[in-house]
Amino acid sequence: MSLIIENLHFSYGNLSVLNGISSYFEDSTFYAIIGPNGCGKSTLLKCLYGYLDPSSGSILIDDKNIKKMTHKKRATKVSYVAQSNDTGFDFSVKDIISMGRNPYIKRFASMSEDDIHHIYTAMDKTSTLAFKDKSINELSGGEKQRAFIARALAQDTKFILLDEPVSNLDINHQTEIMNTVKSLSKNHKRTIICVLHDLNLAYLYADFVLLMDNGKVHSIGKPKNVLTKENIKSVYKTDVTILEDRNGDFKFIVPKI
Amino acid sequence: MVSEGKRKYFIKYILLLITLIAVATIAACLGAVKISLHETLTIFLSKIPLIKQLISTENISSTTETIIMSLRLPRIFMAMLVGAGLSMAGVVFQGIFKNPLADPYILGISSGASLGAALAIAFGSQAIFFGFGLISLSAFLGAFIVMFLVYFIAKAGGKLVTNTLILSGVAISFMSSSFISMLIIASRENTTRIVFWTMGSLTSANGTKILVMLPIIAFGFIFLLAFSKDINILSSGDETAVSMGINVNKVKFILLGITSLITAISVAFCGVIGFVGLIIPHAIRLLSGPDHKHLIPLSALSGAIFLVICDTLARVVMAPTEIPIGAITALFGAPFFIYLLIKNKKKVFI
Ligand SMILES: Nc1ncnc2c1ncn2[C@@H]1O[C@H](COP(=O)(O)OP(=O)(O)OP(=O)(O)O)[C@@H](O)[C@H]1O
Ligand SMILES: [Mg+2]
Repeated sequence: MSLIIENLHFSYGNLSVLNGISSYFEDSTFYAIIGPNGCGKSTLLKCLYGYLDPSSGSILIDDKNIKKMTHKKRATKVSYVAQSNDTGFDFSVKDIISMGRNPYIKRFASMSEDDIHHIYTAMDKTSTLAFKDKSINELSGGEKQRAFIARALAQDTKFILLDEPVSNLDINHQTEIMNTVKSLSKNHKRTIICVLHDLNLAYLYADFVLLMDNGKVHSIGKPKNVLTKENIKSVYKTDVTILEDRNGDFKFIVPKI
Repeated sequence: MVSEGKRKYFIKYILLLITLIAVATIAACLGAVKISLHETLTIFLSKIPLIKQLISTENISSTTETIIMSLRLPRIFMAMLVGAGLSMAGVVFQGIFKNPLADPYILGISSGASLGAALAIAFGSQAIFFGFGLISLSAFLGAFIVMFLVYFIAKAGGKLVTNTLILSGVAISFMSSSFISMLIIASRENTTRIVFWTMGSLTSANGTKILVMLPIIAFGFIFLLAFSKDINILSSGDETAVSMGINVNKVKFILLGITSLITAISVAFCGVIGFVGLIIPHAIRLLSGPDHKHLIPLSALSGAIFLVICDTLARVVMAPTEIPIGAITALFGAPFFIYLLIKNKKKVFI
């Protein structure tokens, strides 16, 4: 399976946000999308799962334009965790996670053994089992975020889009979630496309980094080739120092203050 | 766990059904002419196939039977249909709009219907078409015109934005109300009739109206139930709902269409009966959770019970004068609802 974006353009009214994005997302790979606030990262993700309709260009999954798929079909291929999530009514965590199975369940039908299996696996992987019967509105920001990630996992899709999934989490849960997501790409053949603001997390986890600037791809490649002083300076207008350990496997990016 | 949950709901449905039948039976006994429970039950049972052979109706006068069968039962059925219809429409409106103040009238359907009715009353036609008064037809037409106006205003920007929908509903409502005020001033002799119509009443219930309403409410119920999972998912916001495979625009369009039709037909036949479509959904949500798969049928049943009780009170409390049912629903509904809010202290909406 592959995901190909060709010359994507999108604008909100007169404000053009994506100005010709082309890219190719390989199988079983972790992609980090980085770039300054407002450069169009969230907008790109919303185009990728079909919420926003690009004004030109196309998005192909297995050579099939996602525009031509039904909503349910698309939802079996791509799942999404939003940057900020609404929780309307007092659903339990388990109810929320079960909603991820929607694309597989017919109207009037109830969940199969298989659906329930996916739900429990997702809860296990995100350690949300402990509070599965609590109301979603009674969770902390981080617990909520894990529940929403669990919902995307329950959806069992090849491509998983995450918009700043760990911004609310403590270092333990940040690592736990990032490790879970990483293992999905490494061991379960999922392709992860994850918007991150923390350049060091991108460095640690991503196989490839896509650096965006002003609705365009500034550069794409291995983290060590993209996250350079020069690129960061040109996109973020910030001077950084990159600390390296002796053999150059590990880097840490800190701003100069 | 699962089966225990199912049993819990099963018990709720059974209890509500029994309550509905009991309330309807008692309602049939009460009124200007008191009829004993024994007589009422005898008449009911004598209408049921198979059982009717066993029932003797000898010592029941034909007047009693006429009062029950042609006066009270149509009203009771109408109350059930309107109560169920407005309650399930309310549940769905609140679910789509995620707004605790949403009720079946939020899009201005009631004001459109009122304007239609007021016009018919002011221009004084008593014409009857196919068993409905011109007032009902005109009200239904008014409701539909407003529905389409509001929908197309909200759709103007391309996407159906729910806040625009609500606000254009409010704007159209105010506009219709101004027209109604002008009509009231212009045709003073009809003021009372117009005002009474807008307060709602089940007096005009009859077999034909029930035959028109029944299929709309029944099919509406099935359709809304078919979309209950979608409504649950819509509560996580349009953006997320699309990612889970919901065709948000299409689903909202269908749901709004069905609920508007239910509301329009209810208002056209019975005037503006307020409050039931607002509090029944909230009360049921407080008592049995947010899942629309159960919220819709439980609300429909409870709404039916509630409106039969209210209509009976409207008939008997100041008999032979009738109190407008809209006054009763709020008078008795509000304290009950406040009690529930205090008792549960749980947030219905965030
Ligand atoms: N619904 C909208 N209507 C109009 N403009 C929007 C809308 N959503 C985003 N924008 C604008 O589009 C641009 C890109 O927004 P987007 O959310 O994609 O940025 P982002 O890269 O995700 O930023 P951040 O890092 O702050 O999340 C911004 O200038 C923003 O103001
Ligand atoms: Mg963003």
